[in-house]
Amino acid sequence: MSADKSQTIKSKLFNYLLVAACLLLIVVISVFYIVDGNKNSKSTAAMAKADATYESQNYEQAIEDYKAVLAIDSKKQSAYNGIANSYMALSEIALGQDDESLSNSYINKANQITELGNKNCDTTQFSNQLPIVFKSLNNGFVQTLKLFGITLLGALPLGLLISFGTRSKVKVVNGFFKFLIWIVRGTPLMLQLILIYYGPGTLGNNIWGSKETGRFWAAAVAFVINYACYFSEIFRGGIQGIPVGQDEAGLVLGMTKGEIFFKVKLIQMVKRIVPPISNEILTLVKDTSLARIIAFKEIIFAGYSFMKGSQGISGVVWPIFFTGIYYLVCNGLLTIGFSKLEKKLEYFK
Amino acid sequence: MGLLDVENISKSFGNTEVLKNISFSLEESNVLSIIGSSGSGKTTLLRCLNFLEKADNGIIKVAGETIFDANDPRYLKASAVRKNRLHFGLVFQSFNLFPQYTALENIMLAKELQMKKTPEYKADRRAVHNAIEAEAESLLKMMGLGDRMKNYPHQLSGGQCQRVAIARALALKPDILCFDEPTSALDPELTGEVLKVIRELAEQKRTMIIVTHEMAFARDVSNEVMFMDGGTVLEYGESRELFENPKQERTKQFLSRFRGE
Ligand SMILES: Nc1ncnc2c1ncn2[C@@H]1O[C@H](COP(=O)(O)OP(=O)(O)O)[C@@H](O)[C@H]1O
Ligand SMILES: [Mg+2]
Repeated sequence: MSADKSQTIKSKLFNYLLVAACLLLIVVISVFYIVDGNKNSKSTAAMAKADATYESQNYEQAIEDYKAVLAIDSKKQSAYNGIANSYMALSEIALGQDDESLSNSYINKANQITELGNKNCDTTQFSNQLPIVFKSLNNGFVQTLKLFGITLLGALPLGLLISFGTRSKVKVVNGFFKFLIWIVRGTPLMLQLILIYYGPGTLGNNIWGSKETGRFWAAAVAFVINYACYFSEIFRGGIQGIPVGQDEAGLVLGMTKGEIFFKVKLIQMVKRIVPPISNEILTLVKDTSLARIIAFKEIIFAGYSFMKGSQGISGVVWPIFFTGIYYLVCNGLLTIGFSKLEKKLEYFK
Repeated sequence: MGLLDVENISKSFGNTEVLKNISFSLEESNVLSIIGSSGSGKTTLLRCLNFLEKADNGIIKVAGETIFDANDPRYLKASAVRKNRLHFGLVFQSFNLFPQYTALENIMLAKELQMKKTPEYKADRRAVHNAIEAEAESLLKMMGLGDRMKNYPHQLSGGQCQRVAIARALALKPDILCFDEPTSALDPELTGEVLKVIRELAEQKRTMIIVTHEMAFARDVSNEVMFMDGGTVLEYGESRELFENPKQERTKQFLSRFRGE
């Protein structure tokens, strides 16, 4: 009894810690997102102003304007360049006025600022990689979540339809759906992705185009069909597992087939399928990474790009390891949600 | 003509003839017990009366009105079946309560769905709901379950579940209430409470058909008894008469097994 109790306290504590860790990460990521976005829009505006000043050949003022940009974002390489260029222009002017020493001092200042810029924007340094990588991973994760969401939205209802199809008394209909399930479950999802994305093009009609949205929809179609087939088998098991006596009791009480399904069997089916469906859904979160095979820019794609070379960073491994944190947070929250739902359905047996 | 007239009901599963030309008649307020060894077709007969199986042949009349004729497609339509089966209620051996509803909700569900289709419900749903609830509460009290209304089936004993199932059947006010071995799934010490309830229903002059292996109970509670064997009615008669003076050799054999001879 007391062992039981300490067990539940322990698992509760673990749950709270997990939730706390997840929330903390979400807060960090979103604060970064907001602050970074804010900084970006401000520095872009300031940069435009400084560039305009430079164009008007008011170089002294241009230097002040570029410094204002750096005050907002000290890692803006183009602002360092702007200052260096302004000093160079001033040195030209000084040379034109035969003031060689002034000219040299401007060149010196230009060199100094270029050096500082190179140091501050050196992408081999972790502190300089961090904001670039973070931003890129966040964008990738948004794509991951989009694919995940659209797959759930499409595959759950389609799965229910397919499960009805496999139970159809019409031989052609249930034969077709059983064949579809056999194909989909018998081949790798990666192969299905490749087939759906490249197949139409090979046949001379590239319906997807080569843009990112085309890749997204091709991936979505492949995932929805694949997951609908897995879901349909779970649904079928869930419906078949309900004792036939439930149908018969409803019928004898004069209920219609629809009333029996919605008022009697649906919730019993839901209770049965929550554990296997939640397993599938956790797998789906991770499976979305397969879409990088058709160059869909989800989070693993984003992480891997820093190994291959992207935005001045290359041969760096930590970003791809870091993607794991995103998956852990996402699945941690889902796990807690599902166990809450299971608890909710424990009121009957 | 009785309240119930069954004429020449036959039923086959594939090549096996399970019911062979069954005919009988039951007067209002009478109780008929059906006895017979396992596999003799008792359950199938009750299922045909409740339209869970469609008899291959035969006619069923309630109060003189035909509610089923195997050869008349008018009676086979889903809507006709749904309406006509309400003349009967059926209590299953395994209760078949709806696990996600409380005892009270189990009883109210079908009635509520039925009433939803009526103009009264649209006019005043609150009043209709309250009337159904009051009716269900009084049924549960009659079953001795006044303190169990808010319990879910898994929180009830087998005997309590079966009494809820009986109340659920009664809520639709069937003309004839059928029981298929209502105590066979119960621990021996729980059969008494269910039999007591059925006895009370008999005292209230409900028309009932009871398939049972409780011979003493069958003899006491019923007016008539039917002995089935191999899909036929081998012997049919007044309860005491049949138990004390069975005419057929098979009936004698069957009854002697229960007397432990
Ligand atoms: N759905 C079915 N399909 C095939 N055979 C059945 C079916 N239901 C019952 N039977 C057969 O019909 C016979 C009578 O069964 P049943 O009515 O359940 O007998 P009882 O209730 O008297 O034990 C048995 O031989 C049984 O195997
Ligand atoms: Mg039986």
